[in-house]
Amino acid sequence: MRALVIILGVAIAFVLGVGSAFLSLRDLTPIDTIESGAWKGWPRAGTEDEDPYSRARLARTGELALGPSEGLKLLARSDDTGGDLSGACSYEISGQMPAARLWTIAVETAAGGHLPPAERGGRALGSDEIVRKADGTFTITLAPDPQPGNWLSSEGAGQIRLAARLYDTTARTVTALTQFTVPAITPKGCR
Amino acid sequence: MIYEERIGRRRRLIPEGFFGGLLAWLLAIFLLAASIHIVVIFLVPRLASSDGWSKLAAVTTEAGFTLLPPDGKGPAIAGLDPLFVHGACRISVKDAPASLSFSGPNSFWSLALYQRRGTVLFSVNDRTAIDGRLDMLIVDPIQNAQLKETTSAGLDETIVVESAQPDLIALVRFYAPTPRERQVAIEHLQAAECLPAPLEPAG
Repeated sequence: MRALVIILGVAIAFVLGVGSAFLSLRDLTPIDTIESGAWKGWPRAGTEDEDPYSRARLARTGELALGPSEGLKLLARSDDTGGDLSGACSYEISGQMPAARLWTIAVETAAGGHLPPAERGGRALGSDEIVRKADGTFTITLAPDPQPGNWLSSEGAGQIRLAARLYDTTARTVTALTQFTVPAITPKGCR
Repeated sequence: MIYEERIGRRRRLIPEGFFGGLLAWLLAIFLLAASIHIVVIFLVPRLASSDGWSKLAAVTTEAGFTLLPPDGKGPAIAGLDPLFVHGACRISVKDAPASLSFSGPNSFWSLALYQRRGTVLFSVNDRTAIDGRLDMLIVDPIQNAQLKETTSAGLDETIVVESAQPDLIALVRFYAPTPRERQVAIEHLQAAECLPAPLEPAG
């Protein structure tokens, strides 16, 4: 009886321990992030000061973090209302990126994989090809159908996420989130 | 009278010390689960075979830069910017220093030296380059001491990076959003050098 209780306890502990570790690595680690709006970044990922969760997550996804002199990657999996980004819906990404010499914005699968090339439009845009307004802000439409202006194609995609990569940026050293301007992601309805 | 009787009955149903034992059992489960959780988190990077380093190591060699997919052959490597052309080269400073040199295209480019665990030892972007050219020498601590003794000419424009670990992977990223720029970036990458550079004997 006593042995049975101990074995049961060990089994439960094993399931809880492994399960909780798996769950905390499955999603984007919420540890040691900088966050603003729907966007999240891990400025210490890939450095010596990296937290164990970020390291384990990078090892699992196979990603290589950008170096401190290279830049910072920001990810958004939801819009500003908290809904998951879907390839069937349209979104307006508007505002400004944190200060960077160059930035790119790309559509990926929700897990970070490559989407097959779109028949029409591109899956990624660079800051040098973006049309801006007079005040320096921009509006990008993320939609499955062609759109006027800056268009990111989510054609044929299911659950998606946005990856904004800021190159040669000061955003890595930002500690106060107030200095950190990110574009808003506004849902514009689904098909 | 009735009250005492009830207590007596409960004592017979539940053995003495049951709740204390249950509490200890739950606490033990919690502590064990927490330690398993921590062990798993720390083991994942050590056991992962699909981490970025292993994927790059599988396709790169010590002789020059390898063009990474989609421009090169092989399975896609996760997390690379689709608007960039990437090249990687394996570096070993065990026997001799490694020399890295290339001239970048006119747009943004950057380079990172990755260690076995996937951490960045050193990174640099095109702002550091002199006339768009980057010359880098990667040495281990002993070679670095030898290098400082000889201080031969021609190293003024070379970035010297000391690495305590012998194995590194250099990953170059060239910004190339258009097909034309991609072609130019690929040509720059094919002309890039990444090779062992034995130190000349002092004297």
